[in-house]
Order: sequence, then C-alpha cells, then structure tokens
Amino acid sequence: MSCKQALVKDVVLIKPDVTISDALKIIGDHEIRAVPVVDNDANYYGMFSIHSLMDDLLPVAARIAGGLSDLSFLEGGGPGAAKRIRKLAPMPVRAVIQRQGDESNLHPDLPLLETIRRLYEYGSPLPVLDQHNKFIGIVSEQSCLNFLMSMLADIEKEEQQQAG
Amino acid sequence: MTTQHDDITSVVFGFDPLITATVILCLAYVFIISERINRAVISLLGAGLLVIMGVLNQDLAIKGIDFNTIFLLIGMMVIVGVTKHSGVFQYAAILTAKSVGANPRRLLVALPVLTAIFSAGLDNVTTVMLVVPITLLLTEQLKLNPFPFLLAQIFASNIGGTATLIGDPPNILIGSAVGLSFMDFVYNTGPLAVITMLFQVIVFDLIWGRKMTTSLRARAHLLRYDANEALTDKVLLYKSLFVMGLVLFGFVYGHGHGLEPGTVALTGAAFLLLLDIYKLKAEKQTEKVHKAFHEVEWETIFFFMGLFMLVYGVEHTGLLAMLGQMMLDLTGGDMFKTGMLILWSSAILSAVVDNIPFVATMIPMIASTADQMGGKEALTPLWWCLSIGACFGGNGSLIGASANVMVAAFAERSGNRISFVKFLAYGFPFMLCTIAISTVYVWLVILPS
Repeated sequence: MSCKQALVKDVVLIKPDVTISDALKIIGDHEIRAVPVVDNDANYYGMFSIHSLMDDLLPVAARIAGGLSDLSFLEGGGPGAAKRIRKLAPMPVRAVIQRQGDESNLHPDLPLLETIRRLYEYGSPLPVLDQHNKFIGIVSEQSCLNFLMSMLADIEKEEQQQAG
Repeated sequence: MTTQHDDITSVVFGFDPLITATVILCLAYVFIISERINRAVISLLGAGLLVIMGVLNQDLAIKGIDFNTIFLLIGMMVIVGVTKHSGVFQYAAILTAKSVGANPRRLLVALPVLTAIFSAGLDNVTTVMLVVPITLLLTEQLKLNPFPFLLAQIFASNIGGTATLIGDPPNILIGSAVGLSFMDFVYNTGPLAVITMLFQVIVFDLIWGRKMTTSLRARAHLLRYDANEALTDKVLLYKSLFVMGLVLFGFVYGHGHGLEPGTVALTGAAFLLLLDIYKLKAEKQTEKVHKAFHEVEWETIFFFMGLFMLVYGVEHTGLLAMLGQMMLDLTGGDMFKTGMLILWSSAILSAVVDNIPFVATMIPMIASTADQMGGKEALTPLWWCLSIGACFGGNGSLIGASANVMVAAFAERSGNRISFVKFLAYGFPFMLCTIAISTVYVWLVILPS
C-alpha cells in the first residue's frame, strides 16, 4: 500500500515563466487549490497557490526570518497589500514559489500512512517525483480519501461475504 | 615564572604548562576568530584539552568559571525572553515613531535613542532583534532608505550598552571580576554614553537626517498604527515590568549588601516564571518553563564557560602576569599612559576580533599589575578604559560586535545588504571619533576622580 494508489497523473500544470496573474486565472478557472509548476523536462519547481502568495503580500519586515510575528497594530495596511499584488502580477511564478523541503516531495513507493501524515503536516496537494526527481503527478487529501473509501467498500463487501 | 605548586597538575609528556596552555588558547582564539567552527564547541574542546593535557584539573577548571557572570547572563536571558512575548518592545518602537509624527528626520534620532536605552538594560543582540524588524517596516512604509537607520541602531546598541553593568558582555565580565557595581558603571561610563549618543545624533543628522523627506500620505498611514495592539499580552507585560523593576532595584542596592548581580538576575528570572505559571496545571507549567529556558542562548553560555576555563589556564600558568608586566614596562607604570594604551588598543582590537575573549584575557592581565600600580583600587580607571574601548570598539567593523552581525543578517534578508567595506567606511572613522571623545572624557573626568 503506497502513495502510488492515490496518485493523480492527469493534473493541470503551469510552466515556471507563466505570470502570476495568468496563474491566478488558471487556478480560478479550474477551481483548484494549487497548481504544480513544472517545466518541459518535468523538473519540478514548486506548488503555486493563493496560499503561497499570501506571504508575498506582507511587508518585508514580516516575511524575513526573525521578523515581525504579529501585525495586529498595523491599521490601514490594505492599500499597501493591494499595491503589492499589482507589483507581483507581471512577475513569473518561479519568483514567488519555493521548492519545499525534501519531506514534502513524495516518491511513488512511500507507504500510504506516511503519505497521509505528510499531507496533514505539509498541506495538500503534494508532488510525487520519480527516482530522477522528475514530476510524475500529485497526491491530494481528496485522492487519498477516495482511495481509502474504495478500499473500505471492498473491506465491507468481504466482511459481508464472510458473515454470510 | 610563578606557578602554584600546591595544586599543580603535571602536564602530559612533561610539557611546560605555560606553553601548553598558551598554545591551546591561541589555537582556540584562531578558530574562534576565523569563525570556521562554532565558538562554543571550540571553547569547550579547548577547555577539555587543558584538563586532559594536565594543565588544569577539573576542580581548577571549574574554579576558573565566573558563575556570577553565567547566572547574570542566564537570568537576564530568561527575563527578556519571557518579556518580549508581551510585545512591549514593538509597542515602544511604534509609540516612539508616532510620537515624532513619523517625521523621518526625527525618526533618525528617536529610534536609535530608543535602541540605546534598551541596550543599556538588555543585551545588544536581543535589542536589535526586537527593534530592527519594526525599523524595516517603518522605512518601507515611509519609502526611506533603511541604511542610515540600521547603521544608527548598530552604533546606538554598542554605545547604549556601555552605560550599565548589564548592557554589554564586556561590562558584565569586568564588573563581575573586579567587583564594580551597577551604579559604578552608571556614574562612570553612563555620562560618556550619553555624550557619545549626542555626538551620533548630530553626525547622522548632518549626513542623512536633514535631507530626509517623505510624503504626508505615507506619514499619515503610519500614524494610524495602533500601538496598543502590539501589546499581545498585557498581563505578562505587568508581571515582566514588575520583576524587571525588582531586578533593577536589586542591581542598584544589592551590591552594598553582598547581593551580587548573578543572584539577583537568576532569582528574578525564577520569580517571573513563578508569576507566569502558578495558576497552571503541572503539564502546562512544564511546557512554559521549558519554553522559557529555550530562550537562553546556551551556545553563548557554554562559550563563556569554556572561555573562562581557557583563560584561567593561561592565568594559572603565569602567562598573563608576564604580559601584564610587559604592558607596564611599555608605559612605565604611568596611569594615563597605561589607560590610553588600554583604551585605544582594546578599541581597535575589538573592532577586529570578538571582544569577549579579548576582555576575558585582559582582565587577569590588568589585575596582575595591581601591586605596581598602587593597589587594586588604583586600577579602577583602567577598568573604565577597558570597558569603553571594548564596547565602543565594536562599532569599528561589521564583525566588531554580535549586534552588528545580527543587523547585517536582517539587512541582507530584507534585500538591503550592508557590505563589510561599506560598513567599515562609516564605522571605523566613527569609532575613532568616539574613542577620541572618550580620551578627553577619561582625561577630564575619570582620572581625576
């Protein structure tokens, strides 16, 4: 039982040089939470989502390590954040995404339970990379749940057969 | 050479103890200065080597550790670590910015002054860690170049730290070894710190301040900040301020009653923890205490412990008495000349190397000259010279003090990199000016008294 079982290969992807405003449109049109950023050689750059953008809307002082951890005092910061969107819009997605640490990049043979644990810890969806670090597909909370539900259905059928 | 034969240990292979200790110390210093390996690891290994090689035994090594300093550092680190979660430092910075109407020219005065005041009470690194993020926010909002502000805060942290016993590690080391009190520093180095801050304010205004402008709209935006919202835990704030008041009282009045800073600080820390946890269940208590002790920079504490042992090694084997004699030979025992030698050499060396090992080594060296200089009490002016030189010297280069490195790290992360050379171009001349001012101060104020 590995993460292969919950793998989704048919996935919307975007190239690293796509602008942020286009990427946001793609997310909106497909009604997805995040989109993997992958180039023509299946190299994985990171996951783009509105979540990843949130950090970039904050002032620099709040984004850096050791920076401000509470902005409750900052009244009237709206226009500043709005203007930051304007500044970000024409930039390529590769400028704002980061490849997360190794733990959030899954490999196809990762046991299912560990896959679920990582989804819980690092968020959903997570990329699945092969042994050459090339992008194969994603695993999401939904795909895991779907697989488990179908497995549960099989288990219940078997239990009924045994009882009957 | 003088060695105490009653507790001499024998060095392996029959090596000379003085040479062995000196070689180990020099090697340790080379590694510490080069920063290739973590300094706490080096100092502990060096101390361990001293004992393994037989220069010291464990009892002697432990004797060399100044636990007054260690307790003072730990105590203050816990108190500040707990207090900062109340948001009081951000509160003070925002209030300061608003009180000058977010006027850039006045901010360049107000923020460094605030930094200097904090630095006098807290260690410089914590001070800048608390003040720099707010400064970066304010300069970003007002569309100002952050460089002069960051530079001013580096200088202010080192200057402010000179004013009190607890403001800067050199002062803690000197005060603890020699028996100087909190108020001794306030009366002797305090006024100089104020004068030097005034000098800084004027210089910065001339170079940057008077040309600084920003739009009224940006200023109006900043004035809408609600400082009260920065206080994330008011109850904690009151508890912290109460304990800090007690601790300050302990520093000021304790000395005359045999209550040393180490005891005051560590007991104060324990008391603050008590106030913070007494209503909670055991498990939650453990969690909070665990977190509080996490705030202690153990790397720094172990570095100090190892360093004390290393220096005790060379002191015990007589090297420092030798060097002390050399210094006296150079100056002929003249108080002013000796003071000046100490002031200027510690300033320039502190700009280049970590001032803590330097000061730790200088203290026993200077102390060994007591007899020829007229007794322990007569050495007092030299201690002020060491303190001023070591603290002010930190402004000389980017690596001169830990606070400088911390600010540089913030600057880099926020995209405002300060290069070593750029800092040196401003810092070194500034430091020389402050030492020149100090020379006059020592001559007019410290020596006659």
